[in-house]
Amino acid sequence: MQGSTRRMGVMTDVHRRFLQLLMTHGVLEEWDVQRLQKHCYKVHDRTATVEKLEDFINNINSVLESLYIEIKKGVTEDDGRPIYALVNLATTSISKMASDFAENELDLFRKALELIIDSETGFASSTNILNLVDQLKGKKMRKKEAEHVLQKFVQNKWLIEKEGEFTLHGRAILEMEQYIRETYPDAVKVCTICHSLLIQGQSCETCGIRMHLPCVAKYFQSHSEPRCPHCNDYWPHEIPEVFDPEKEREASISKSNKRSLRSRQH
Amino acid sequence: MDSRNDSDYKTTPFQSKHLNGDERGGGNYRWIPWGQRPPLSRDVAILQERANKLVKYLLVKDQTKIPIKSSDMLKDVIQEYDEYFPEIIERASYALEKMFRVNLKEIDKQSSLYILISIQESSAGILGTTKDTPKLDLLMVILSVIFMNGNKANEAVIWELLPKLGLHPGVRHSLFGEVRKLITDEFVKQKYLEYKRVPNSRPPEYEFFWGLCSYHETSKMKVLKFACKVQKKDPKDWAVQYREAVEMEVQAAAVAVAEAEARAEIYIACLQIPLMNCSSPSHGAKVHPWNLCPRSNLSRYYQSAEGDIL
Repeated sequence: MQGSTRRMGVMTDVHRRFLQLLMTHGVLEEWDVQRLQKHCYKVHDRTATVEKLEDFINNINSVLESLYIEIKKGVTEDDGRPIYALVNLATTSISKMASDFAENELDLFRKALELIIDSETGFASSTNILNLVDQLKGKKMRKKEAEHVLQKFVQNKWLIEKEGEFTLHGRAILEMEQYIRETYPDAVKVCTICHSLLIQGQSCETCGIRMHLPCVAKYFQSHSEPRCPHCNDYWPHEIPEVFDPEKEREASISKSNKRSLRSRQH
Repeated sequence: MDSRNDSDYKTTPFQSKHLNGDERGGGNYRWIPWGQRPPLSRDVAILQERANKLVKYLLVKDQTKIPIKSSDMLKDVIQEYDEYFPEIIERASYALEKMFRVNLKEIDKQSSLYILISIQESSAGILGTTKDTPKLDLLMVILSVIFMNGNKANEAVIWELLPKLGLHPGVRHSLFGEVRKLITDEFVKQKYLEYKRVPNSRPPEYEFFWGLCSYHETSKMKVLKFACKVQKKDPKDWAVQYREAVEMEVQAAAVAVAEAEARAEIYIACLQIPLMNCSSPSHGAKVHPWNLCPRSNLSRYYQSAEGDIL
């Protein structure tokens, strides 16, 4: 009995190096991903034409299919920047066993996640999260330690911190959207435009529908009088700008110049 | 069909039985390497499914950089197929190499410990630093001190060095945490360093040595070059260390060639069996924050920006 062989892409050293580097960083923005791709070609195959990024990634994903992982593309909720991360497609107990975090740390994350999902703004205050440390499973954790664990989550790009409040990093949303929707079906919010999970966004004050900031930007682009797509009332919030990769490139070049200066100050 | 096949490995402690449970008594078993066994697609599919699961398990476990015990692999992933451990591990190694360019390396045959190592020089640093870079930078400094000191360093030397880097034992650092714990506990668990008591020392004194993983992930030559870069000297100025470093390189190259040849033989057998096509049953249970991070290759230090530690 022979299984049908699905047509699978071919992985070369270019793809492998790319995958390894993406894994090292966890999550990357599109501009960095493109640089990475070009670098990998430069190292292994100078003469080849650089494949279109989407095809390049689909190629890799077809090979990774058997492992139930894939490189997924998403968009940051606050300013619409495209990001890429390697995500786990199967819900598996392996992650429970081999995670970078201890049981009580994972539980802290879960508590923070629940507060974030239940909140109106998509942010949970540090105070509210820390007040839950007594309820954590596993080894007892003090508030001071919990503060450090939260910082660890920020460093590992699972949470973002803004002025003492925490929300989910784009990477966490990419990785866990399915899990979140299945686990908290009543509490989750969804964007009216793109129908994906919504943590941060704007909402209509009349009818309550919600939209991601980048979705708002695109939907109301060049609308002089933005109106709610559902109830037609005036949209009461400031309309953000659509993300422009060109502007981002210039900004990141000047940022990397600053970065190399900063690192010498150790 | 020859049902007397017994895939028996001379090196494995496990007893292999034929998957169909055909146990004719007697000792008339012929050794047929598993790669040449007539592929029974159902059995192969199961082995491949376990191997795929093992690949993900190893990639996730590796992010802690603590060497992985084979007993953990058996308990958590392979479970009832423990007899096929060698085959499953070979399949997983193959997938790791072909998809992720990492080698699954057994660093300690006695305690059966494994790590993942990037196959070639990594390009890390091309996109700037990651969260691991500061710790690896510190480790590199310590490794160079140990090496230049004759392959061991009394702990006093290290404790004296830290304040010069702006690090103080007992004080929690934003990147390193408590630095004494990092060096004597975390780096030791990860087998980057060894922290051993000086025999017969009263009061007890301790010394630092290179750990097994440091030997695998970097080399004396690289560390020598690093130290010389910082001191703005030529590696050959340190004659003793240079000779040692060259010798280690020669040895490492020979080992690498031998390992590659051994792998190639087994992988040729691998290629004859469809690897990628298994319908895996869904695995139930909850998802947790999970990220993949191959063991950071210490050699990445050299690709990154100018040595800016000291």
